[in-house]
Amino acid sequence: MTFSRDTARIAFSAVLAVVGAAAVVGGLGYGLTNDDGTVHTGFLPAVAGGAVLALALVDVAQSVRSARRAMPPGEPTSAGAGDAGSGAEDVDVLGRTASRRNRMLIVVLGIVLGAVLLVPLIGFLLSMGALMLAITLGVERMRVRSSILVVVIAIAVVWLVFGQLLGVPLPTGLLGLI
Amino acid sequence: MLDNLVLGFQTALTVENLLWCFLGVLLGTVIGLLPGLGSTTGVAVLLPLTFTLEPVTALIMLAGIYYGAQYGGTITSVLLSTPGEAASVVTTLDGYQMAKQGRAGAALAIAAIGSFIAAIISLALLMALAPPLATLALRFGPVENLAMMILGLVIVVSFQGGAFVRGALMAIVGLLLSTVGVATGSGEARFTFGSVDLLSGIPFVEVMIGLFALGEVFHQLRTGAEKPIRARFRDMMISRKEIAQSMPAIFRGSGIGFLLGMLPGAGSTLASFMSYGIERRVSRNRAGFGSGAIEGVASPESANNAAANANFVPTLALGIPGGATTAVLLGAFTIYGLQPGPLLFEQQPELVWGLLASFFIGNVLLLVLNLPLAPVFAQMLRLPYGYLYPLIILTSCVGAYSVSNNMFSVWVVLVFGVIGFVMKELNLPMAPLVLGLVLGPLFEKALVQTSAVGNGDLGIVFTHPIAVGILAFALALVTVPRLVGAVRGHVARSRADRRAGTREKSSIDT
Repeated sequence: MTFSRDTARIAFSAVLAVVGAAAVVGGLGYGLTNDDGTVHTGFLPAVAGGAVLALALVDVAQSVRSARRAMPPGEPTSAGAGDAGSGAEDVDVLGRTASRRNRMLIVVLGIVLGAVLLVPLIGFLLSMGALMLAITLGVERMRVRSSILVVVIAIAVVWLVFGQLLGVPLPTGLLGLI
Repeated sequence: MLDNLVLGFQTALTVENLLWCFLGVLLGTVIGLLPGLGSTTGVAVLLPLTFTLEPVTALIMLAGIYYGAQYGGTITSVLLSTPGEAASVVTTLDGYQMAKQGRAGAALAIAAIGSFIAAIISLALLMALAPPLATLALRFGPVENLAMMILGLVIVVSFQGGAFVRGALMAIVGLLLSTVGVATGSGEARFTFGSVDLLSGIPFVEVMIGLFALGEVFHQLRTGAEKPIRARFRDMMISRKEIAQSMPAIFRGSGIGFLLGMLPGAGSTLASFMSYGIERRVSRNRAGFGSGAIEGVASPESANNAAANANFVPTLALGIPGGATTAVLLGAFTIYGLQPGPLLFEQQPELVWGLLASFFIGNVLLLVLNLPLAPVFAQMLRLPYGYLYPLIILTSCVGAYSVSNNMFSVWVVLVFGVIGFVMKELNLPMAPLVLGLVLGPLFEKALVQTSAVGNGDLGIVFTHPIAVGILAFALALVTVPRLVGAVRGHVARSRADRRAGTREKSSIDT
């Protein structure tokens, strides 16, 4: 367990604690019980939110304790001890370093986001085809011919199974092609 | 009963029925392979195909689709960590780990074998006990259901072992997420922030696809490519030793699955989670759970299939659907002019027993079809990951879209893909979150009904003996292992102190 991961876990649990607190407030706003004392709309969110708040705070406390235990006394607590920081030696079977993999992840996330945003413009199948080509050629550097083949087959199968056999109305976008 | 059974097999074992059953199993498997499309969608989508058939033949085909779709979901859970429905979520925990170790074939084979054995056991129970068990299931009112949901959540949390707080946290976050949308009871919109899409809540199928499929893709990208799986075809086959090792898990899973499957609602999901949780405690190989234990696949898959059959107990005997898929099948019954209920067994023996016999035949066909194909399916993992993960992203997006023909579903998959990635990076358990989300609406319904039964007093739970028994069991699950651990620790410490004292004494003496 590294310091940076503990910090991330603490941050995550802290966010959950805030969400829990917000749910309690929201639940109270909706009302916990009806006039006859029966459960109303806000009861479950308030109770579950309270439990999330309490458990998240316990988790924060446990993570802080484990981070302190992992840190030998007198050692600086700066970042750099994290996973990414040890990237110089961390190379996968394809020879990619940790920092390169992190960049790839960000690029893939961007491509997926871009493809979903493109759906209203060029349609679902073309967006997904572009997504696959961008990843296989741009990120993974696979062979052009085999990448195109895989993409064409995959999109054709999706069009046939979902679009034709199952009758799913896949959006065609402003272009209105497929 | 034997006469009825013979009548059933005579009805089901015609060439026409066998062919339609085979087609149903095949189509169901294909549907189940597609992310987001589980057995409910499979049966619903393919229902129109059966309209021109005789009622018995149509129902036999639909049952084949049901079983096939369930197994198809198992294939994607094992190979791609993409469960088709909530009941397959647990299979990903050990199944996917087995696949990563080159044992996908064994995982798929044990899933097929476990499902087959569970189906046979549960069918025998279904045939013998359907009417009396249906009466017993009727004694489960909202109070008992509420207790059962609490037990389900406790079990799934307790199988997190040392990470109890995180398991509980994730389960309750799932419950909290389930409160988004129209509230049960009041019908008031809750946490929707004016969004029409959120009125029907956060869809759990899309959440599952995001957390498990996209979350895993993003996690793999960050951790880096692993050596491609180069297992030989022979190594993909399951060994006799593995089958023997899985037998206790299969029998336990079948029992748990049948008992829980009779309860309307999330029977199959609860059954798979509970059987995994219990197996993780009682199995000889409990230390291997989570890192590719074959029992971790055998147990939930058996429970899942036994629950699927047990779902038919209330459906056939009472006309109350046991789950979402049996609800669709119930719709099919009415389309064919049949009225499920206590009189169905008397008025339509040919149909009921023919259907029950076809469950057996469907499971035999499923085994015959998928056992030899398991190593073939497993070859999918030989595809370089550079091609495989864009395909996973594509099928996840299109699968999610097809659930409700809405881009909102795709956005949900993306958001939960990122959340799944963060959870994987932080080693937070995802299964409790999914169970919380799935059980949430049922839990709230039971809570609202219980509160109404008790005129606002939730303490009514403690006046129902079955509910008290279930809650006591849940409490024991949380407290007993801790107490035992504390006592063991105390005994070990005092022994160590005694040994140290004896050593000290002997050194002083010398």
